[in-house]
Amino acid sequence: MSDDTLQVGLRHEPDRVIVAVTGELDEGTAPELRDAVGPVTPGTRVVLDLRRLAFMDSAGIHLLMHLDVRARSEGWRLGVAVGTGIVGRVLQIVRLADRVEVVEDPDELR
Amino acid sequence: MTASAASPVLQLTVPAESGAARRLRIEADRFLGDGGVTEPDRDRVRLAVSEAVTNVVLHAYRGRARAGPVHLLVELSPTLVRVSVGDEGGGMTPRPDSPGAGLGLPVIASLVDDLGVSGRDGASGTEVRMTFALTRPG
Repeated sequence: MSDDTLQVGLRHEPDRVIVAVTGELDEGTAPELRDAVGPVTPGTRVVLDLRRLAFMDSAGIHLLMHLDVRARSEGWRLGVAVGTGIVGRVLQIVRLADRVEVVEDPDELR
Repeated sequence: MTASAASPVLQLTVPAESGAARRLRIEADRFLGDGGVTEPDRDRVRLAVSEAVTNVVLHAYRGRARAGPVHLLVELSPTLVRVSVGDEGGGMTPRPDSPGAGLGLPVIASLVDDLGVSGRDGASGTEVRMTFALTRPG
């Protein structure tokens, strides 16, 4: 069965990159998002916009932790925008906001 | 798991391969939607099913040339959803090289009203049994 259910769009702005993710983020699709976030210039703000993500489980959390480790070691800043649905609930369960900036609107992250 | 004759039941077995979690959570969600279960309750179940099946895919048949099966059983009663995810693998063992975050069971525990993990009766493998009390019984 195909796991090709994830779509990733990158939008480059001055000093900021918006990574818009739609579809379903799980063990099958997480590598696609991991690979989509290529080299990042130090100082850049990277915003993962997950507001239109239909599903995410702990494989997505694992990926966010991986990106957080990358950001800290490479000198860029990671933030995550989520809505109020199942994705936000997963982030709350694991208290990701203790480690990564989590907001409702990507424009809150500059 | 006990099932009354009138309880709708979904029973599926698929290979424990990449894509199994998606397939089984979609089937469980469709089954519960057809049974009139509302979205917040279905969200809990599909997330828990995804976590449990992913655990089987990542861990149950590690080191084997061919993945074995993952069994899903979902039973809907007027007030409860009971879910069993089982495999025929080597059981739960410590794994320092885990490809996951180790968050699967903690996430499941936060979603369910009752949780049991055990060996399968009379067979090899592990069974995760989850009970969800419906917030809006049908």
